[in-house]
Order: sequence, then structure tokens, then C-alpha cells
Amino acid sequence: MPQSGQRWIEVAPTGSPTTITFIGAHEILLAGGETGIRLTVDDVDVDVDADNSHLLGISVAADQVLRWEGIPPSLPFATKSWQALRDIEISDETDEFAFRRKS
Amino acid sequence: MNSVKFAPINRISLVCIPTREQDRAIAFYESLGFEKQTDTTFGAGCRWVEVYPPQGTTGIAIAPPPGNDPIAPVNTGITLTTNDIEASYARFKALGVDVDHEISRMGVPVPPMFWFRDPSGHTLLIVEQP
Repeated sequence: MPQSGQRWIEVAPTGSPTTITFIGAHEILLAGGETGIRLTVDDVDVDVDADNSHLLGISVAADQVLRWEGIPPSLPFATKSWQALRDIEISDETDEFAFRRKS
Repeated sequence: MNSVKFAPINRISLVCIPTREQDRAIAFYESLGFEKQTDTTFGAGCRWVEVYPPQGTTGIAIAPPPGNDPIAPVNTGITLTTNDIEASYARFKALGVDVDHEISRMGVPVPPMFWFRDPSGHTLLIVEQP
């Protein structure tokens, strides 16, 4: 359960009614691990190798694009900390990744 | 700020929760008002199921994890909303859902809420949002 004085930060892709919330980890909601969150993009053809150093620079660790028959291509990635997503949110100027802070 | 070489993310489409007894989970979420919108196979006979709440665009994917390892219940982080927490709590209890022993009321600005567990033991949160 969130404790008194904790920050509650919500971000969302532009136009998305669903948000991702950052709160301090606690005994029943631990930091790290597989979130199960699936984001969608119109085009997942990303040259991950070419961009890998950049992604690492903002603490995003991208895997390779998975192409399995019968399912859409997907790109697993991990943030090393919530800071990474906050930085992505700041990338409003580029309108890429396009998370917006909602609260 | 450096640009990110991703196509723009446009939606949080799903939260995937690992589940072996998929039919049981489907029945559970449908009893809560979710609607099954996808039920298909992929890979080596794996089954992919998506259920969605009556409102909203983000669903829950009920999918088996790879391998045969047992599933460890997790706190999914999924937060559902209701406009009447008392009614939802009473309904969940009547359905036999594993819910917290009481509604949490921390006071403003935190809305009333309670946690519940699905048949796999995964924890979800429901909050009142009038």
C-alpha cells in the first residue's frame, strides 16, 4: 500500500486513456521484473543495432525484434529505472516515444 | 533531449498475466464484466486470450508462460476503476472473489480501494473513480 508522503506520477502515450504509474516500491509491489505491459506502435521496424548506443544512453535496454509466425512483430525492452521513462516523457520536442505526464 | 528511434507509441494495449488454467481465468474475468475479444493459438499450440473491461482500450492478456515452471503469483500493478467501490466490493464478495478483508480508505487524495486475487493468485487493484 502506498505510504504517506509518496509521490504518485502517471504518464501515458499521447491520447491514451490508460496510464503507467510510478510509485515507490514497497513490500507488495516490488521494483523490477516483467511488467506484462504491451505497448503498440504503427511501425516496429526499428534498426535496434544502429540505435542501441542511443537507447542505452537513456537507460533503455532493447532486445531484438521478434518475428513469430501468426503474431505481430514485437520488441521487448527494459528500463533500468523509472528515470528512463521520465526522460522519454521529456522527449516531447521530438514527438517520438511520446509519453506525456498526466499527474 | 536526444531523439529516440522508435515509432511513436500510440497505446497501452495489454497487460499480460501468466496463466495456466486459461478457461478458469476467462470465466473469472467474464464474471467481473470483462469481455473476451481474442482467443487464438500461436507458436507450438499456445493459446492467447484477451479480455477487456466494458470501458477503456486496454485489455488483459491471459497467456501461458513458456516452459512448465509453476507460476508465482505477482502483484500485476493493474488498477481497475469503478464508480461505486462499495457496490463492487459487495459484488466481488458475493461472487466468492478473494478480496481484501476491507476497503482501504486512506483519505484525500487517495481514493477508496481494495485488492483482489484472480484464480492464479495474481493481485489486482480496484479504485473508486466517480
